[in-house]
Amino acid sequence: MFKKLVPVVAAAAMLAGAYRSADANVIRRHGSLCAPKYGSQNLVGADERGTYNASPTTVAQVTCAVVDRVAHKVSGWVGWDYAFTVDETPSIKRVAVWGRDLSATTPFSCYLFSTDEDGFSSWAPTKYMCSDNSGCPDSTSEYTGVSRMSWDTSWPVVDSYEDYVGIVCRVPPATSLGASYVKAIKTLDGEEVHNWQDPDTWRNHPETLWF
Amino acid sequence: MTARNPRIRLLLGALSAAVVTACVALLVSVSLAPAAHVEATAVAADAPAAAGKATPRAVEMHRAHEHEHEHTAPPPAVARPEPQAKDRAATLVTQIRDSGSDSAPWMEQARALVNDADVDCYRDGCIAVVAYADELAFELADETLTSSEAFLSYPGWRHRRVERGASGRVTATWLLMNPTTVQ
Repeated sequence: MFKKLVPVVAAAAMLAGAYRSADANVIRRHGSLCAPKYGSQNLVGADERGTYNASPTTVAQVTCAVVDRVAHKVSGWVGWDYAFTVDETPSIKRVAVWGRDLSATTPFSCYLFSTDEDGFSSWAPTKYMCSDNSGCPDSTSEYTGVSRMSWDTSWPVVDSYEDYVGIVCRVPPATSLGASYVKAIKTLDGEEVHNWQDPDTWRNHPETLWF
Repeated sequence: MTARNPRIRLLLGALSAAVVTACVALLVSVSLAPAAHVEATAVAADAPAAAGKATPRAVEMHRAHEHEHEHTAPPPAVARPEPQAKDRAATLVTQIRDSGSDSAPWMEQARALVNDADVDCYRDGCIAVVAYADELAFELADETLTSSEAFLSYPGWRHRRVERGASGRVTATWLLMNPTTVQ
């Protein structure tokens, strides 16, 4: 009887020994953590919804700092009885900015930048807010609504161990009641990036921000 | 080993069933653990104080094991080498040069950004080298370029490597990536 159990226990031990899981993670920053460019100080405000353009006529330009590292847990077993859970900080894989565009005539655009202490710097393509999850490459001035723009920041374009990362946004004046906002910025470590469009992976990336 | 007593055989049968059930439960918890971790670590990142409350049982179990083996070195499986910043400029330059020569409309836009520099264009991007007499000259020219509408509207990634010579001369290498490729 016990001999029959040996293969079962051995198989379980081998499977457990091979187990290692890496979590995906996201760091969120509220959209109020943005600073106006010179000339936009008197145009912008901040509240619980983020940083907004209070002007009815003028585009406001703001720069928002981006969290450049995401720590996540790696868990698993080595051998039969050694279990571990450690923090891992891989390079960030994607940065997304969420906003509200209330202008039907002026585009809402952002670009991402990063700079290294040794002088190496990068500028991502400007993206425009539209109904697409990752933004649009061309101006979409007629779009209004809540949406997001995102950039693939995989190494070598961004090195999260060395770089300082930020986003510059041009927030349009509202053409209807309310204001246009930078609502939130999310930094992802990318374990789920390849499933970015898959609704099942949106547990941490809900379609709607409730503020 | 053979047990002829029916009670002992029954006991052994129950024992073997319990062991098999435990193994299956272990494997099921292992397969479900990653999904649980996603939510747990997300909470931990935003609210460290609440992390303990939200930690799933699987993680707690790992931590208990971790505590038992706290004097054991972490396994090498999680070690990940940090990429070097200087390597990435070289990586990009190599990628561009290895992509081969090409001619495309976006290259004219790239050349126009740095029209006073030598520009070599390939399928994956253009490489432009600009030299400045000193740090201040570089900073002022760089600020003018990077705040220009032409630069900001360039549809691809732009990278800049800076090298400083012993004489104070500054050399900026611009890597203007092909906007039609993914990145």
